[in-house]
Amino acid sequence: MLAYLVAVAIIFGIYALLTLSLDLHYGFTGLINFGHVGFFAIGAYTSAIATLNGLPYIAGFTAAAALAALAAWPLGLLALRLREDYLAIVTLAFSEIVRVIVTAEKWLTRGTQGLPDIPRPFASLGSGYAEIAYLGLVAIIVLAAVLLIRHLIKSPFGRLIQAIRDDEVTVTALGKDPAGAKIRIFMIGAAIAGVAGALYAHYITYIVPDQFTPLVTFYVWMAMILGGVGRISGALLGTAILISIFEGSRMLRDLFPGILQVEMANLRLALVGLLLVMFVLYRPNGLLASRSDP
Amino acid sequence: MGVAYYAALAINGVVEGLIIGLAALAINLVFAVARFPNAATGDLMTVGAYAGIAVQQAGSRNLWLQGLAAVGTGMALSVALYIVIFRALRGRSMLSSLLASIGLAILLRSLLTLFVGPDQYVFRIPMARPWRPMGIPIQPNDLWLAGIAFAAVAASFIVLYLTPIGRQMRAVADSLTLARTSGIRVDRVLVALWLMVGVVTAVAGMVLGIRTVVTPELGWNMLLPAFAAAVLGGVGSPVGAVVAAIVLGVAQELSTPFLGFTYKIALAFAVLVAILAVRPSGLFGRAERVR
Amino acid sequence: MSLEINRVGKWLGGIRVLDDVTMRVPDHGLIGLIGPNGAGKSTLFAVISGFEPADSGDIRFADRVLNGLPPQPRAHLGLIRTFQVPRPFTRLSVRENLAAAAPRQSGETLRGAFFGGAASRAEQAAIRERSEQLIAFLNLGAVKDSPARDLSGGQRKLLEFGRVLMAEPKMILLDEPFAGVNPVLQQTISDCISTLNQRGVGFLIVEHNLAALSRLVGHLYAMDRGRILAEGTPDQVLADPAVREAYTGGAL
Repeated sequence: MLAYLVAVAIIFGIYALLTLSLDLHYGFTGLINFGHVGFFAIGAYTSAIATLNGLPYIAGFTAAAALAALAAWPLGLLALRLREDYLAIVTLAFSEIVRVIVTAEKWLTRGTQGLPDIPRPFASLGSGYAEIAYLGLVAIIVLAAVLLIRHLIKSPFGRLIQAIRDDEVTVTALGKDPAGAKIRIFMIGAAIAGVAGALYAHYITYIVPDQFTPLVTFYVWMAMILGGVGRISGALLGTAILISIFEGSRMLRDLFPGILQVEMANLRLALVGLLLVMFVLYRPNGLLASRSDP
Repeated sequence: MGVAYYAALAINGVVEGLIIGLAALAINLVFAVARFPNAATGDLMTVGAYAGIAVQQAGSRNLWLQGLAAVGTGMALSVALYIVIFRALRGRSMLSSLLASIGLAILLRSLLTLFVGPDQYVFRIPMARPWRPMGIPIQPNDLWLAGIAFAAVAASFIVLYLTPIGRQMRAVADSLTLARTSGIRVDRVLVALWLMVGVVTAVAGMVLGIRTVVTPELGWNMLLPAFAAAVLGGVGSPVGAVVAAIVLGVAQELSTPFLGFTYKIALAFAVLVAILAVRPSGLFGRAERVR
Repeated sequence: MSLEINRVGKWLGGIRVLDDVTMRVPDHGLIGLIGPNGAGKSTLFAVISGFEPADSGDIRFADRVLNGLPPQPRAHLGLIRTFQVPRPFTRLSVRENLAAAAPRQSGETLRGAFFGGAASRAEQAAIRERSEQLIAFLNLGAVKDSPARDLSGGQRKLLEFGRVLMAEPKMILLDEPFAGVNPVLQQTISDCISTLNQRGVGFLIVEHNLAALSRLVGHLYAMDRGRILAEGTPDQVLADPAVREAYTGGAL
């Protein structure tokens, strides 16, 4: 039972990082990013490849954050000039380009065969303790991310990005530069997603390109909306709901062993799709808020 | 490689491009009139294809009957989606409609898989030997399919440019407020729009399904290339969308010997990102400010 | 700090939206600009503030040529515009709206946000104090912590005003300050403008409410179809036959 809870908590932590960073992009700054899984993938593969080639974990994690942030830079530049619907499509295209590159460059990533046997920190502690230690690592990183984002939001910089979200034209008219702030936020959020990717790779220990489809991005969007956009507590709440859906559907399958795993996966997907539609229609501000702003 | 090889690739590209063009047209219509990128376009195509398959499994091999079922289903589903979901979202942000369409796409695909299973179905069509004019292999089926796709495109343009309802659609696309004040009943126009989208996506789904295999992922795989074409062609231009799609289709096929199979899929995305980097409004689009 | 607009022209899709426009707002000036809808007043504001380029002519402020500059450097020189329909930062509170408008905040950079230390804190304290003064001046005390989207139309106008003031302007391009505002509030805004003008802030005011504007400014320009029709005192301009004709059917 404990092992199960630890596993769920670890997945929660990883997705929480994704939701928090997407919230940084969209909830706080208004950047419509539909390619978030791309940063996740870059982080996962970077750290996996680094550590599989003998580099220490700290190098892997740092490289994951750095490369994800680096990838965000040209995207951020594009974001400055594109209207929001084009940006949505372009960011989606970006994450698919990442997946295609990862699939094609077999010499680096072993393509569709994926990367097995990714080393896991604390593995030497033995079964049970290793997972708890890993959870500790995840928890520390999530806490650090929350504190970082909180400090950022409460600072004048945080006020500036929210002003940019609310009315970028006025920010320009007042003599400030939205461009630099948007790019920086884009890169910070990407770095956090990259770290999440590294945590994921080292936990699962076997990654393939198909784990990084746009569906992951949509899960995170759903989590962000359900919990309430633009609030740290909302991001965490939304992630909790998302994980509940994942685990709840797994438990249902244990209750009804006649259901195939594939069917359960589709039922879960249908629920996610339905919730997304319902919440957009009736509760766009999240579970706890009433219908006010679109 | 000889000219015949490249010509064959190009012809294949044109047929593919026409299919992408149909999807791009459907996207462009919703983009221009309802003002959001409709992520459920692909899955509407898939439903159309499965409707055709359903008729086949029920015993009829008549492709026209299957096509009719597809179109009928497409129209009904499309309008239903508008009435139940997109109409309620009309006054709200683009992102709301986009997210709802994403949710719908996921919902449609997963429900479809639940009911029909993940295995692929094949349209049983009579096998034909390829013609070889000047040594270039051409499948007569491809010609048929291209013809149907082209007819659907042409019919859409006739509606858009030569009928009153089409004029009204374009008026709404130009300016919602102006259209309203001129007495256009926007709700009626939107119902007509979604009916059209239903027809176009159903035809696209059938053609793609006949040409390849019918799986639940059928339309979704086409979505990004279709988006790329719609954006490249520019939001205001349905003609641009179809032209861009055909160009993309041909480019994609012609690049296969150089890029390999995996990367050729990414060509559309790469071209999209590259063009928007240089011209943020798309090739034929109107310039619009960020937000 | 005078604003000089010299023979500015602009084409938009085959139409001359601005045709040889020449205007001057002297230092400490309080100048009005009137004209029927479509006269080009908003376009002129967009060109002066840097949101649209001029196709011909030049614009000078404080003896600097502004042509080619984006909006930000113009704002740094002290030339700031408001918008016809107020554009508050909807989810930020009134206080945050005002604070966000203050210029030169070191905390607004990433480095400053994390490593700004005591210097940044001191800056923010000073900004907070200025905001409180403005909130009192504009009588927005009751809503100072409410999100801006909860404000009434009149309160939004006042907030817009307050935000411009926080930006330490030398000259304000005011776009229809009295539009949609009740007479009592109009007087308040009018008094605010006079007070600020006496303290040295210049104004170029676009307005449709000719009566209120005439009471406020000493010098007026009238535009129609991209050109200046007349300039002079309010009485002179409003009596000008060309101006009256442009306003056929309008309230004079």
